[in-house]
Amino acid sequence: MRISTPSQYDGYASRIRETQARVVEAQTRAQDLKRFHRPSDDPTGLGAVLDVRAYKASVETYRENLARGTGLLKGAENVLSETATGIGRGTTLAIAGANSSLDPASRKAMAIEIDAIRKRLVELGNSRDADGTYLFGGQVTDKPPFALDATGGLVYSGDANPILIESDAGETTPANVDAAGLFTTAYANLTKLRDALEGNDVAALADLRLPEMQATKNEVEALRGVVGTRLQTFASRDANHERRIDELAGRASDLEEVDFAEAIVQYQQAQTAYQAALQVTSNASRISLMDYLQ
Amino acid sequence: MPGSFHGIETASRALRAFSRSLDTIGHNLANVDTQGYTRQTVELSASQPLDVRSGTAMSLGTGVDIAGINRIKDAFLTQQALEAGSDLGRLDGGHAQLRSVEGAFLDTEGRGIADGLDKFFASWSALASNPSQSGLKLEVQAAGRELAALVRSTYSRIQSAKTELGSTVKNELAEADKLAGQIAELNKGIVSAKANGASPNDLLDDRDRAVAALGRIVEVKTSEDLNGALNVSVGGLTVVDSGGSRGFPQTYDPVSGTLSDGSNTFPVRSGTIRGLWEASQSLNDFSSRLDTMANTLRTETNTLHATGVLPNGSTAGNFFGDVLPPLPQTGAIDFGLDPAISADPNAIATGISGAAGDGSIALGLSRMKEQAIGGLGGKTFTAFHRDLVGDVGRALSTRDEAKITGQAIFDGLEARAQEVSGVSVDEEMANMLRVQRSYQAAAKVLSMFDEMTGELMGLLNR
Repeated sequence: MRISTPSQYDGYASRIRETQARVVEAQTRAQDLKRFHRPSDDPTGLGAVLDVRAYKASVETYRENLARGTGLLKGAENVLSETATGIGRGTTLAIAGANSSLDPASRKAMAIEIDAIRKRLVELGNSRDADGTYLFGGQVTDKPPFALDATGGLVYSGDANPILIESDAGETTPANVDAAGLFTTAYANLTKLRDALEGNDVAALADLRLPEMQATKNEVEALRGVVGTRLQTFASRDANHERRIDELAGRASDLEEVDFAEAIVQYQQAQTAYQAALQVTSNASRISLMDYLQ
Repeated sequence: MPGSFHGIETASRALRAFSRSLDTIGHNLANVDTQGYTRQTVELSASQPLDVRSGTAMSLGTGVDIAGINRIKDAFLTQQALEAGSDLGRLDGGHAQLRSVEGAFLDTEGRGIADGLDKFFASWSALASNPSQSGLKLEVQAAGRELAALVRSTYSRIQSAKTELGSTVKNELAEADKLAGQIAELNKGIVSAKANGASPNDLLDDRDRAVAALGRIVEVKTSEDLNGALNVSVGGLTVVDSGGSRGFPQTYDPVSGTLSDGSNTFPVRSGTIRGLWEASQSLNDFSSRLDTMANTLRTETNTLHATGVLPNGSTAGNFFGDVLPPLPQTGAIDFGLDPAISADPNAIATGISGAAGDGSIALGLSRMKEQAIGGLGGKTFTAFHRDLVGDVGRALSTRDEAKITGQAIFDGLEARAQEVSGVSVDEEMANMLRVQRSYQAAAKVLSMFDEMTGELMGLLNR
């Protein structure tokens, strides 16, 4: 095989170019530990990474939505807790007021207390969250849902629509509860209780008002139960999503990132090959027939 | 009867021959680094003998003649290298433009259209949970704006690459025309030199270089006439023949990938021009897919959004700016927010009832992320874009892989051609030693004859 001088040196030069290119590539990889920097480095791998990222973004959004829903439900839970306390107090007063031995003055004092509870109930019904959203108006979240009409009754002006949050792929969950009936009935019952206490109507207190208060109390507790269950569901959903995000982050890392030790080893290998190419070129170019001619 | 100075004549002929050999060796060494240089060798042959009668008939040798200065080239390897060169030219053509377009897709860094789509759908989802929050409406507006900007800028990068491809094609065609002219000129020189019996080796090297350069641009077929002129044709069209350059066609049809000389079309199958055409086909595909995605996103979003009612009771308009039907949509080039939405995020509709807490439309738009869209061939927006980015990457990675193979083939052919035609310094040095010794021997013979004739002259002088 005949070797011409230009092809010999072209060979050295191209080997140096190749090994140098590999050094630069290995260096970049070792510096940022990324497996690919351009779509052409690994088109299929990039596709898998984009899918993982899109999924992760969705799951993160679901978590944010669940947090929003949890906020609304916790707000509702606080209100219903105070409402339960108020209704509980009302029930206690109804029991006490139904005692025929009680003097009218005491009943009058109780009536004043019931009135205060009644007023507080309206405030509670019109509670808002930190963003200013009314909690119990259905989808009418920008106006107070409860107001007193001309006859002094509590009227609901919201709607019965749910505030839906996207909690998972293709899934929506309501993050509010319908308390319209509860508040209007509770208000009406408290009004009747106050009137009965003021009017010293012991019979009505025992036979009608007390059962009404007890029924209202049960309704409040039932609704609290609904809220509590929903909060638990949200919490466990959120925990699942958190786990999923960790898994996805791990998958993305496996797809996108280079193991540090592997990157360093590859860099070393590339450097060694480069040094070898330089060494060979340097040694081979020293040998020539001209050195031996007199 | 040979003359008295026959011996001197023989020796001096030898000196001339070896001197020319040394000249040729020197020429080879001087051109050791010249690209495309073919080594030359002097062919020596015994010169015509003299018929002598001295009792019996004899042939007396007269020394050495230079039969020719030969160019050591393998025509078959040259042809193969030409084809391999065309293939490499094809893989190189348009590579830079494809690379530039690839750089517009920032998805590897998480800042590309895929990320923009994720943010867009996420912003609608958050708004659906809290429809009256103006901060969340601002986020939807921002996400929509950012996504549109990404689509537009990617599209415009593709358009500039296409323009660049077009002007590169023009430049390559002009270069091809220039090379055809050069080949025709060299043909003239070679034909006339051959007619005089000379071997125009350096002109042949120049012509080979010009043909190789032309072969990179388009695939060429060559055939040599008996008089030494080279005929060059491209896809059936004769570009250069013994009559001169026919001119390289400057009209290239970017749709069909053919050259035209005004009356006929000729296909181009390899070379840089073909590579540029293939790249432009890829870019056309990418830009049309971006158009499809932009128009589909416009239509799907607007259709749903326009069913909305704002809290103040007015009906919602478009979310993305659109033309009034029946005009066709333009595409990615002007994809952007509707002016009303761009001016005021409160023009964003969240629900169909107008209630402050109605997030039904926002929810519908958020869930569009997971839906198979008819206008995208049944893919989701995310999957459609993922496939587009994948194809952008593949357009380059298949080329790069093919180039590694193509380069290896070309280098292999080059190496084999160099084996035959390349100058080896060591070999030339060894030849030089040989010629030097031969020259010394001939000089010695000359001096011997000179001494002998000198003796004779000395006798005559007395």
